[in-house]
Amino acid sequence: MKVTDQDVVYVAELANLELTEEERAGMLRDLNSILEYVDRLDELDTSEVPPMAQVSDRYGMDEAKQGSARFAYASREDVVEGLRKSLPREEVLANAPDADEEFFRVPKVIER
Amino acid sequence: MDLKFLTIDAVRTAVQERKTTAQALAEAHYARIQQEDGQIGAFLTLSKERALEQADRIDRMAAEGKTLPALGGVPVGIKDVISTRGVRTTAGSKILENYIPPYDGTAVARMEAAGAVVLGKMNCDEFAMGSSNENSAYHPVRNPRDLSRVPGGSSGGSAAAVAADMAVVTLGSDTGGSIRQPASFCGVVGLMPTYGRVSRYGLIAFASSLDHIGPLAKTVKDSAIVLRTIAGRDPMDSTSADVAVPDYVGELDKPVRGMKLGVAKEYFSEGLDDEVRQAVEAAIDKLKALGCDVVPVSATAAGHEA
Repeated sequence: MKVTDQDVVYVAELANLELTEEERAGMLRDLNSILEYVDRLDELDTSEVPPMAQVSDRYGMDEAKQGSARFAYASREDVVEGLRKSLPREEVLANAPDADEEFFRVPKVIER
Repeated sequence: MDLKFLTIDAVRTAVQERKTTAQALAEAHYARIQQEDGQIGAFLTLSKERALEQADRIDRMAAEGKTLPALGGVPVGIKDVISTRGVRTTAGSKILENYIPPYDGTAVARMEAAGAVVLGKMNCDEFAMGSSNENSAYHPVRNPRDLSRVPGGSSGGSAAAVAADMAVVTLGSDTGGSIRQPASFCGVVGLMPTYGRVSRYGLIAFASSLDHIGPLAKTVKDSAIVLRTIAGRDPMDSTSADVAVPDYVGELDKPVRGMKLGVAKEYFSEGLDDEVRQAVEAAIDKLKALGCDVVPVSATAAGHEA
C-alpha cells in the first residue's frame, strides 16, 4: 500500500496540522518508508504459526485451553468497585492544576 | 558503615539479630546519597519520612522477636515511572513535575509488604524513552564507575544507585533493554522477567505490551529474592499471568551442567567493542567449563534482528 499526497492532506486535516508544501513531501516520504519497513514482515512464512490474540495467551495454568480461553481468568465482573474501592474524589482531583468540586477544568483546545 | 557488600540477607540478618537497625541503615544510605549523589544524579525525589516510618515498623518487629519478612529493613530505590502513593512520581518528565500518585504500584506495595524501605525515586530517561539517561528532563545520571561516562538507560538511576551503594536493590523497567543495558554499563545484575511475570499496575506505560518491571541488584541472589517478592498474578493487571511463582532462590544452588545455552550470532555484530566481546566470550567459556551445552542460534527471520 502506498500513501498518496491526498492521504497526507486528509490526515493533516484530521490532526489539525498545517503543513507547508515541503513538510507535506517529507511526510509522504517518511510514511511510505515506514510502511515499506512494516511490509517486510510479509516475507515471513507464518503458515505454521497459530494466531495469537495477545502475548498473555501463551500463559495461564490450563494448557488444555488455547488462545483467549486460556487467559479468561483475566476478565472480571463489570461492576463498580469490582477490584478495589474507587479513589475518593478529592484525592483524584488533588493533582489537577485547576478543578471545581466535581471535575477537572481544562482550557478549551478545539476551535473548529 | 561499609555499604559496599550489603546484600538483602546481610541486612535482614543484621536487623533481625539487632546488630543494627533498619533506621540506622536507612540513615547511612541517606548519608551516602548526600555525599555521592550530587555528582551522580541517580535520585529525583527522596521519601525520607516514608522510609523512616517503615524502618521503625521493621525495627519494632525485630525488637519484639518477630521473624522479619524477606526484605525486612532493606533500603531500596524505585524507578520514577512506578507510582508511589504520596511520593512525587515524574517519569523523568516536567509534565509530571507536581504529580503525586494517590496509590502504589503493585510491585512497590509488594516490596514494602515484604519489609523494604523505599529511600526514594530513581532518575530515568523521560517516560523511559532513552538508553543513556541524558534524556531526563531534570538532569543526566553519570556512571559511578567513571563519571565521564553514561550509566545507560532508561533505568540509569536505578543501576547507578546500586553501583554506588546508595541502595541495596532498586526496581527498574524494561521495554527494549532499559534494565539490562544500564545494569551492564554499571556492572550490576539486572533482570528483565518474562512478560506477565510481574504486575505493571501503577507503571507509567511506555508500550504496555512490551513493558516489564524487574530488579537491579548487586548479586544474582538478591535479584532472585526481589523477583520472588514482586512476581505473581495481580488482578489489577489483566496481563499478569496466572502461573505459580517458583522458588528462584532455591534454584540458584543447582548445577548448570546439561543446561542448553543459546548464543545468538546477531548480538556479535559489527560495532561491538572488543572488550565487551571478550567479556561475553569469557562468560560463555566459563559456562561451557561448568558443563553447559552451548548452541549457536540465529535470532533473525527475514532480515529482522530480534
